[in-house]
Amino acid sequence: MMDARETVLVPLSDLASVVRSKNAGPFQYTIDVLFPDTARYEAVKKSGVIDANAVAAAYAVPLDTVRGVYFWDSALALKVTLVRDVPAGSVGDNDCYGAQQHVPLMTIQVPVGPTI
Amino acid sequence: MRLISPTAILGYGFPAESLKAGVALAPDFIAVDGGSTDPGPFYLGSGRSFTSRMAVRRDLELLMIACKDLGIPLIIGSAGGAGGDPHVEWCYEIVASIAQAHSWSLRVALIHSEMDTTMLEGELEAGRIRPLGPVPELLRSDLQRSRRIVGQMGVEPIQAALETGADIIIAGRSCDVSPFAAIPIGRGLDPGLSMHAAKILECGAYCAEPAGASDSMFATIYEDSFVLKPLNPGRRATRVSAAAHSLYEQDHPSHIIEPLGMVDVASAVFQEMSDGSIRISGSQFTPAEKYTIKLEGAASVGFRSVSIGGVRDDIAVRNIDYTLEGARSNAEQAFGAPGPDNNYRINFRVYGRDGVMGSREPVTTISHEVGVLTEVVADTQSYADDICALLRSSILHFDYPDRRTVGGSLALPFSPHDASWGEVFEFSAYHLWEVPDPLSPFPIEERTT
Repeated sequence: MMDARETVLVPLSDLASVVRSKNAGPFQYTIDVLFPDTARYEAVKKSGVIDANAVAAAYAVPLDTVRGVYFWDSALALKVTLVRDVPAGSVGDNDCYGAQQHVPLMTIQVPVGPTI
Repeated sequence: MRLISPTAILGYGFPAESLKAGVALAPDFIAVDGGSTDPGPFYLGSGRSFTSRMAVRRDLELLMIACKDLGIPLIIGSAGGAGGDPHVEWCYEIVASIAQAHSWSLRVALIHSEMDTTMLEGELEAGRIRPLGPVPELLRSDLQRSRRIVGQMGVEPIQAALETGADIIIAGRSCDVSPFAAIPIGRGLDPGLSMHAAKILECGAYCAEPAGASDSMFATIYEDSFVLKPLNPGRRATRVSAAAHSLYEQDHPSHIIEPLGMVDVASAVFQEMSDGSIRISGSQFTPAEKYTIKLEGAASVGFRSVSIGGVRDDIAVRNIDYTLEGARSNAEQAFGAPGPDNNYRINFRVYGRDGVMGSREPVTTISHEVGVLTEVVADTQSYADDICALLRSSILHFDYPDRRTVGGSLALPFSPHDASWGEVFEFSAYHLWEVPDPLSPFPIEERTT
């Protein structure tokens, strides 16, 4: 049984090996967070802190802007899909490929045990 | 069934050695994806390619030589990037020019995927067009204002084109999987396995470790599995890299939705082999109830003018919003307030603060310097240029509180200071169309070089 005093909070970015922010069609972007090992992946999944509410808060968007938060075991991957603020390439878009929208997700704090 | 995917997009390049290694493995065909909607609506709307002629020609020549030597077909999907008629024609010109240089007489099948908007209006009336994802319903006016609309073809038009005996297929806009899955499915191989393989293959060696979008992948599709092998010995396909690739650019981690039906890769089994290849099985296919294709449309919304300058003075940086609002007021004073009869839009992006994320940026601090990107979109290029010039000179000279640097508030890197950026398009359609059949929307045209 984990001693609660031994858990620390680390940002998600400290645990991931790859982060892919990219459009999924012109109206949504999707962020794939890949973990280097099962231990880190499981720590994030089991912590329960990454869910639609947490993502909506990190991006300061309404909950229904978050289209999905998925944990996919075989890829050791977390996927988060959001509706874009404007369609890709439309006037007012800042990021045609949706390639640089991942940072607020990666700053979410995750409690991890001493072995991580 | 054996095939080579030489690169992620025709024109991205690939090592000649990788192709050579693939040729030695006796593929049945070579397929390559020519483009996508990723680069935005400009290329679809304007008819221009987003890969360069030189890069595409280099890739095509190597591929055409390989296919001629082996006597196998070459299949290009979403030719010219956006896959409209001008894009397909552009690709054909390059193919014909290479054939001429080698004195080859080749049979080429062009598959058109541009749709007649009047025909689509009828389909919309009949209730056969619906939104795809978080987009509003398609309106008749959207169809009418579109410069170009294409449909993403499934495997059937490519299969039909091959039956004409063509050496090279230049397909217009296609689903990413279509060029790779057409022959395997046509030969009776499992659609789930074929489309799962195709989904990974269409990105070249991007799914390998290390990832290589400009490198090649070999695939062998069996009745109960498929094997992927990076053709560069420096790369391996691993369980994790292959599984993670299925997520790429998809809103859902395991559902691949194609006109033929849905492939669920959640139950896929990945088996790493000692030579850096990977065997994948277990992808589940569910046929679609109705055959639908994705429509993509682009409409012109005006012309853009752009100016960029840096701000380094700390007081100027702190007051940047005040200055930009002032510049905007100056423009309204000079040109009138924007409205339906005076159509122009102004956007400022402040890099170093929130240029990348805009309203979704959580960080509120500002850097010691910022880059101000001024953008105007208006009905004509010259109107956009005039407004942009006025904004830029306003920002340069605007009097904000506590200003000391009265010499000028912008570090302008270029003379001239502004650029006419050209016509601006937006996506006007991104909808599903219930087609009467998979073939009739995609006419095939046969040519000989």
